[in-house]
Amino acid sequence: MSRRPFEGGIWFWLSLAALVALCVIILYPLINVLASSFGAARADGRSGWQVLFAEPKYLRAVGNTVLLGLVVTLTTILIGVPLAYVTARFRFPGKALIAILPLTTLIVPEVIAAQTWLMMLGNNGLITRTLGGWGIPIPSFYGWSGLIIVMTFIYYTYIYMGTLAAIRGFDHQLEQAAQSLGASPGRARLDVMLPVVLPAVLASALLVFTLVVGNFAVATILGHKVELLSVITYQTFVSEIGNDPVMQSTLASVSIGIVALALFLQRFILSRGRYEITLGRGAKAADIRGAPALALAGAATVVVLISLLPLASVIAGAFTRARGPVMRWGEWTTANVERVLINAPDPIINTLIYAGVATALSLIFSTGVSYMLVKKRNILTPAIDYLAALPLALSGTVIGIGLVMSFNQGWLSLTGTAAIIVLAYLIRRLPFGVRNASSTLYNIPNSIEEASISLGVPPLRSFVAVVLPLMVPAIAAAGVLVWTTTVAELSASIVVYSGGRETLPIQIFRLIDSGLMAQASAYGLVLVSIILVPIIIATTLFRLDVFGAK
Amino acid sequence: MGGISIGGVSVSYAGNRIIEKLSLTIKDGAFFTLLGPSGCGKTTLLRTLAGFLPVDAGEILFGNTDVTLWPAHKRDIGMVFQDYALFPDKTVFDNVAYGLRARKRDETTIRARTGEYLERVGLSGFESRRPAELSGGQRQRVALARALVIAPQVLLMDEPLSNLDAKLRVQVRETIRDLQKEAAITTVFVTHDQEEALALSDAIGLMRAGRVEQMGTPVEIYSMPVSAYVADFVGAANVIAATTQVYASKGADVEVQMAGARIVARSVTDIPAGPVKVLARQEDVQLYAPETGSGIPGTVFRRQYLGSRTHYKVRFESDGPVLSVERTGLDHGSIQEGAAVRVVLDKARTLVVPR
Ligand SMILES: Nc1ncnc2c1ncn2[C@@H]1O[C@H](COP(=O)(O)OP(=O)(O)OP(=O)(O)O)[C@@H](O)[C@H]1O
Ligand SMILES: [Mg+2]
Repeated sequence: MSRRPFEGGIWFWLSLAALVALCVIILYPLINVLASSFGAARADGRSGWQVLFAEPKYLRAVGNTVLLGLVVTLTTILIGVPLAYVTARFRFPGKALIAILPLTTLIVPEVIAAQTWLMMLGNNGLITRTLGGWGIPIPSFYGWSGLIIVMTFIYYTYIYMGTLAAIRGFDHQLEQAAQSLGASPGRARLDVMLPVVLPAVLASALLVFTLVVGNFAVATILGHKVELLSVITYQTFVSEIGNDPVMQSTLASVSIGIVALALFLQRFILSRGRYEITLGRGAKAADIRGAPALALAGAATVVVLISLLPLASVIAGAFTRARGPVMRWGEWTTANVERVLINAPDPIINTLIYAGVATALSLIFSTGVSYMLVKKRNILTPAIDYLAALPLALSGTVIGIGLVMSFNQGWLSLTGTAAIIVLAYLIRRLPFGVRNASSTLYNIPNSIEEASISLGVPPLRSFVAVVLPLMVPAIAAAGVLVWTTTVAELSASIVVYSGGRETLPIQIFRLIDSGLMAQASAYGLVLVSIILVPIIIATTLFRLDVFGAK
Repeated sequence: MGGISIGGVSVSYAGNRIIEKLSLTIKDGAFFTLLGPSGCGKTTLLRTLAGFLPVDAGEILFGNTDVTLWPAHKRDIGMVFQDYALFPDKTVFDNVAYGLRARKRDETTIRARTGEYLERVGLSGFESRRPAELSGGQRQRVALARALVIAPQVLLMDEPLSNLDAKLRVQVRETIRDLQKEAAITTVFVTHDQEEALALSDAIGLMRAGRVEQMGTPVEIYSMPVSAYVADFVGAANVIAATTQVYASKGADVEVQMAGARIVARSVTDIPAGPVKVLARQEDVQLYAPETGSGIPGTVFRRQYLGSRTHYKVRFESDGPVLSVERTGLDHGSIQEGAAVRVVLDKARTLVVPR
């Protein structure tokens, strides 16, 4: 019997609107995917699940996907954790190089990473042919080896960054305390540091596992004969569009299940140990010299150089003469770049428009939603919170298929429009946007807004006048990050796009499929520039801490 | 203009009743202080008056207008927040001018009034600074000027002095009182500092767990506390268990039995016969030499000489409670530890309250 007819009202209706919107664009497609997997997949009336367990091809794909996920998670941990430890605890020549690591994964889209590795190590690759010319045969890069190597070098930075943050926040004194109690330095480190750093490693490992399971670009380009869930889901979708959506739903449901299971396992492990994140003073980095320093510097440099390889090859490829699929290395030309800029700029224009609209909408929506989550909680906000985080557990392919199934016809028919691409972008980046805006809002005390209201400014105007200006730097930084990840989006947009609406990643993917590497590189160069320019402007001109937002 | 009347207001947070059927009236232009221990609901009541919290029941009147259902921005209040709540990206001038701009005053008026109030709080010359470039006391005064410059109908202040050092506290509280008096703004001031409350207020409401335990002028609250709780919260008091044989009506003298003796004290409310409490402030207890003959015999077992006064702890011979006594005057330090004394409780200054 609370009498609250005043400003609680407007926020209640706004949060109801947000909840309805999220249900329509996230929950409804998801339910569609899950529900239709139980429909009849074959003429004999077997459901998608019965087919899945009956046909070895599907079971193999599930097994391969989980295996690849586990292996890549392990290899990324093996590279990422030691690298983080070394950078946190030691100073050595060339350490500054490692600071650019997060950049490399951010600015090189997965599709370009896969492509450039192929340009070097594929059947026609520069290194393969050079070594072959010298009589040194190297094994095929397609299949497991290529998948593992490329994904490892794309994803290890997630482990590196997660672990580094944890070690930096770890109180060195804890470690010394354990030593003073008689443990040897090695033991002390393990005993004390592990429980603190492990949750961070586990969290980033789960992220890597999710990304590998959902990976579409590398899996398709390099998978070859290795059947993977995301690839056959996409193939089922392409070949059977319109007539048999059941199998694609079943496969999509399986990948949702795998991620959900991994998430559950992580929770389980964390809840069994008593892991706490203690924030204390980080240990000071120690100087090391001599041979160990050289070895460290050498190893770190190798890792960084390999990470930068895609960037170098895409630039070289863009300016290399090509006849059909054959690259004429050493013969330079600007023809490729001229072609994509002057004769066929459509993918560039499409990308700029769709990603621009999606970034703007994403910032507005996630700022509004976060505001309700942090400052105007009501009975609806927990559901909003949960729904907005849901896309984290869904791969791009799954989101794309859900959208196509849900908005193909009927009251909201979006198939074939640009809107469905923008929607796919929006959904994929929503969790990031909301998390970022929420953490900013937590740092702005409620009283500032109340002060404005008490001085006679209505609630909504108060928010715009005093809260929003304080959020602007963080929103701008998030905008840059949303932009860079949106223009590189492939797995959802390739499912929902229609002819004439190709974006840069889609066009690059198609060119790689046809073996036209030089042209793909030229578009790749444009894509990397579109990503890099805003980052450079934001960090140098506006001094935004773009990577702090991550 | 007008005062504030609160009638039977109840407020809850997430189903928990914090304020329970609270009623009180504040006179037009009065400086009213809400006093009470941490967590008793002072901030909750203030935020309810401001319109940031909805009421479950009851009504709030500003003057003769029922504002119970009005949104905060229409209530014409000035509010000083405990954490200042200055707009960090705006200059001192823009902070103070904010409310005037919201009221669409013309720019000349805004300049003049903002300048005037900044001068009053002693911050002329700080116009173009940002809050981060000010000291705590200066921020406090900006917050004050920002709330006062709009000449609100009601001024609400939530522990506005809590973050200042002792000297600044006294200085700023005098400024507050001057500005408030001059504009005769009805003011509600929240504090848990009893000295502040006594020094500033026209009236005090002493709160206990969401209710007003006693309401009155500072003199009434201090000298006629209605319960041991009030007496103990406003200035330390000796609370002694006692019994009465007869029914005592409010204001009457009544004989009570305590520490093996009989004394006469004044009853603050109607009290049935039985167990009661006797209240005596430490400066109201008299100590005499043992040979005087009257009073309850006791022994001084601790003496603290504090210059302007001396604190004694006295134990009754009959093994009763320990009394705190404060003596001032010419020979206030003359009694030594271990000395036998006679304790006299003056009936005009000794109160009987229900157990
Ligand atoms: N946002 C909230 N949600 C739930 N309970 C709250 C909230 N704010 C305050 N309370 C509870 O309401 C009661 C009164 O709180 P209030 O802030 O009014 O106390 P106060 O008298 O101002 O105390 P203090 O002197 O410490 O500021 C407390 O028990 C507190 O726990
Ligand atoms: Mg309070």
